Amino acid sequence: MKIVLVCSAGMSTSLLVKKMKDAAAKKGVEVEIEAYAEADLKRNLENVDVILIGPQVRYLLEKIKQIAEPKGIAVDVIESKLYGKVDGEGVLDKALNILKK
Amino acid sequence: MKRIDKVYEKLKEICLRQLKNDGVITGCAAIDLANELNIHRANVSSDLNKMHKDGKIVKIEGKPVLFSIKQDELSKNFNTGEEDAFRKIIGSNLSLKNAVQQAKAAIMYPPHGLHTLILGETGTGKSMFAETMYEYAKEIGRIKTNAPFVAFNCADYANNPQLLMAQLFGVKKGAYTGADKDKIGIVEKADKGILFLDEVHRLPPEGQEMLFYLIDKGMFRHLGETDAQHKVDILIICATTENVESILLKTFTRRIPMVINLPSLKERTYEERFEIIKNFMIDEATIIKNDISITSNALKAFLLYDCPNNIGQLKSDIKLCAAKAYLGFMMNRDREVVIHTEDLPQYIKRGLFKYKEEKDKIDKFAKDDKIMFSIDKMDIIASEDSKSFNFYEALEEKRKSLEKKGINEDDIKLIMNLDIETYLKRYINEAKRYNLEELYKVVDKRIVDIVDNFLNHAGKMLKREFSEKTLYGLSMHVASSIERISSGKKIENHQLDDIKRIYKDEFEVSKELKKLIEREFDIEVPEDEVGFITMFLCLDIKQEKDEEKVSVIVAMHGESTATSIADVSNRLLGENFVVGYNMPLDQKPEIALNNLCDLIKKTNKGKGVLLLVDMGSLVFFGDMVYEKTGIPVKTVEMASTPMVLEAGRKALLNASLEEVYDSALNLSPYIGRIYKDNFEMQNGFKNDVIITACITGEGTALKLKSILEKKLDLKSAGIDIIPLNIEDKREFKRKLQNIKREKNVLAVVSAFDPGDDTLKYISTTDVFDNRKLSSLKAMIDSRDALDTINNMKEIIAENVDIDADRYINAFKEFYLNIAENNVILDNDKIIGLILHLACAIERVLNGGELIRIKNCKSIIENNISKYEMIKTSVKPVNEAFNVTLSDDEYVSIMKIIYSL
Repeated sequence: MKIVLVCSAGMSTSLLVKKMKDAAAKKGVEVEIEAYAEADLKRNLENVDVILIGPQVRYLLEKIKQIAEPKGIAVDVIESKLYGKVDGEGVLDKALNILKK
Repeated sequence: MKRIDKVYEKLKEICLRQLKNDGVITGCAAIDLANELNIHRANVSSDLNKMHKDGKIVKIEGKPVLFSIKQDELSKNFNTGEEDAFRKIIGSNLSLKNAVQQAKAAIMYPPHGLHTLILGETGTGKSMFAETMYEYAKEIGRIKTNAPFVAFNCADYANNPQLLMAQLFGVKKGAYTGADKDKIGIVEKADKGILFLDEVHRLPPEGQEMLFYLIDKGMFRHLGETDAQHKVDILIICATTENVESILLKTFTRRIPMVINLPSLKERTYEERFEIIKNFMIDEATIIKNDISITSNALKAFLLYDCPNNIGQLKSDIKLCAAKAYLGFMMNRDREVVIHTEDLPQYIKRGLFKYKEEKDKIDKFAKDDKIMFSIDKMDIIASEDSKSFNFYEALEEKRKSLEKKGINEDDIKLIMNLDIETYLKRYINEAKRYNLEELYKVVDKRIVDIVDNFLNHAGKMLKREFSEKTLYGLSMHVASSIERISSGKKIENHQLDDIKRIYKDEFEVSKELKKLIEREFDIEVPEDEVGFITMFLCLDIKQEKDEEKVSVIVAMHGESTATSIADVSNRLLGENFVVGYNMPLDQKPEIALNNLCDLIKKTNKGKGVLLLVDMGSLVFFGDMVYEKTGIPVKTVEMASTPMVLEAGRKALLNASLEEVYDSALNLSPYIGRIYKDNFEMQNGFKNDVIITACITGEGTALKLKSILEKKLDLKSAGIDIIPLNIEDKREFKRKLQNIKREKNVLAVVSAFDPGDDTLKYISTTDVFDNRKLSSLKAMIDSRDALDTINNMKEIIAENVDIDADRYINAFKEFYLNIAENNVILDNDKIIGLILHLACAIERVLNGGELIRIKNCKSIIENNISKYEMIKTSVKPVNEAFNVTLSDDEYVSIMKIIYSL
């Protein structure tokens, strides 16, 4: 399972990645998590299951959906409540929930 | 009616008509009566002769023979009983009995009456008395009913003797340059009547000479005439406030046989004073078309206070207080028009200090709690409801009025906290005019001794000296506390916790006084009271140099308004004291401010400056001048000549700036009342507040408040302004700390910089600088955003390896900068930006790899102004961490902000 986080420069999402990885280890979930700048996303869509977008770049949602949905990748925006707290566990749960559907 | 009676009635009618129209009875011929009555002349003639024979009428031999009614018959018609013009004067049969008898004698004295000199202090009613003499002269037929009464105030032209002479005696054409036609003087205008010369001691020597000539010979010359003389038939009444022993008046009294002394208000009985008060009250009630009541204490104050300008002053004081009471009624404070003690100016209230001595004499006038003066009925109606003059009750009343407005407990405490110091200071200021002897009259000597001992002890313990004022103020305070405790009333001090915390040492020392009082008076003094005592010790009352005076400056729009008001005031004050500054309408405010600054620097004698202004930007100059020069300035707006005059008068008495300010403000019932009401916060405060603080007085703080509210649209932003009236920086800081504990203080607008980094500070001058103000506006608009930013502090501290405090503060500045450029971000973007920028800084600091943005250059080129704005706005962050971000970094910020 692979989760990709996207923000404008891949900078702030990298904080979240670390937290999510910790949360996944705690839960015993095997998952690969990466953060990319928007510009680098296209090149890194292999095997991705879900893309989560930082709330500050919510405006990219449609654009990303266009390239990701044809490949069967689910796309969503992280709520700023979770994002602002750098809540790794919360964001991980969100991704897992999306995948369950 | 028999024919003979008809004839008599007609004769009487004609004679009375003659007297009324011509002032004398010339008599009536038989033929005229015959024509009027349509009776044969011979019959009329025989009736007249019969009546003459019976001694019923007077026969005047001549051609034709005239008849008239007898003199005693006349007085029956005119002096009906005891009533004459003098009866309406209060005290005409008490303190003024002698004066009235003299006046009557002067008028009646044959053949033309006696010239009279009236002596009396300002406001004793000299003019009114002279007018009454004139009325009386008409009544008894000494002068005709249409005879002139001409009043002239010799002080009016005292600075220009030539003009004065011209006014008095008239001018012949060509007498001096500008005298281009003949002009008659008031002496001629008063011919066959009465000439009243007020302030006759101000008559210049030339005038005196001509006046004496007039008195001696009844003749005078026009100005510029050498030979011609004019005869007039006038009765001269002079009046003066001067001592009769003065040289001028000695020459006067030689020529003027009748000297009448009018007693001062002090010399008159309380009965008379009460009658006078009653009369003026009823006059006022008639004017406002409403009954006026006065509380018993206020009436006592009116009966007792020192009223140096006598009845004139009493009248204007009553007018003023009635106006205040009426305003209170209009603004729904009271359900009726009531004059309360607290509405009275200090100097009237002070009358109450004499109450103990005069109690027996005046209690009969103030038997009831409230005395009412009605318009229609002359008698007085009593009613209940009492009020007294007391520090605690003032506080309690304030508290009650706040409670009534539904203000919550926390806000009430806050407001009381802010006010209590002012109350205390006023209290002390009021006390300071008394010497020890007088203090003993109001306060039990035992109390004064205890307080004196205590202050000595406290002085040693705290290594501080206490002024006389503290002794007087604290003694009076303790006296009322003891009274209160003994009567079982509660003492409540809202600041007790703060006092214990902030003034630990003083509080400890104050417990000593508690012990002393408890021992001496066998009562229990609560801790709240110890808190009040502590506050007395902590008020730093500046020792003023008493010999210096507060400077008074009038500044107004227009070419000459200010200087002419200053001029008039100076002439009335008899001293060149008030300074005027004219601000032409087209003068730039900055220039006016500079000029005024220089003027204030020049005029200030170290005791501060009272600035009286009309309107507009001038209202704010006081605070700005203070900001620039450090000279304490108080400002009164909507100034008028009486206000300037009162301020000048007070300042000449070496009063403090505070007192001079109060006296001017008190004279304007409107301003005083408006400020008071506005200052009582109507509904408590919202959580977010901006504080405006002025040393120049309530007016400026309130003006600032309304300007800010309008410019920043604070109402819809849900922000309240707390206007503070402060005296110095320390007091300001104390009050600020108090407010900060309760409320979220967004900004402080003041001439003082409180030096508190957590508060945004805007100087008074900046309020008029739209650029400066827009940063405040941005801050207000960004309040939610700033909350969000604040909440991110912990997250940053937890996740990013940089100084989170410093980062968040820098980020706030960054945010306010972009907000000022009208960029408003939603929470998503703010959170994203905070995290993003924090990571970027961390990476730069750790020498980590930086981001690269594709087509960075072209993005910058296409959005050059946005790029510049971001680059400038982000500076605080760069500076906080001493880093420089790359263009790529700026672009990535732009991408987030502008969704590029």
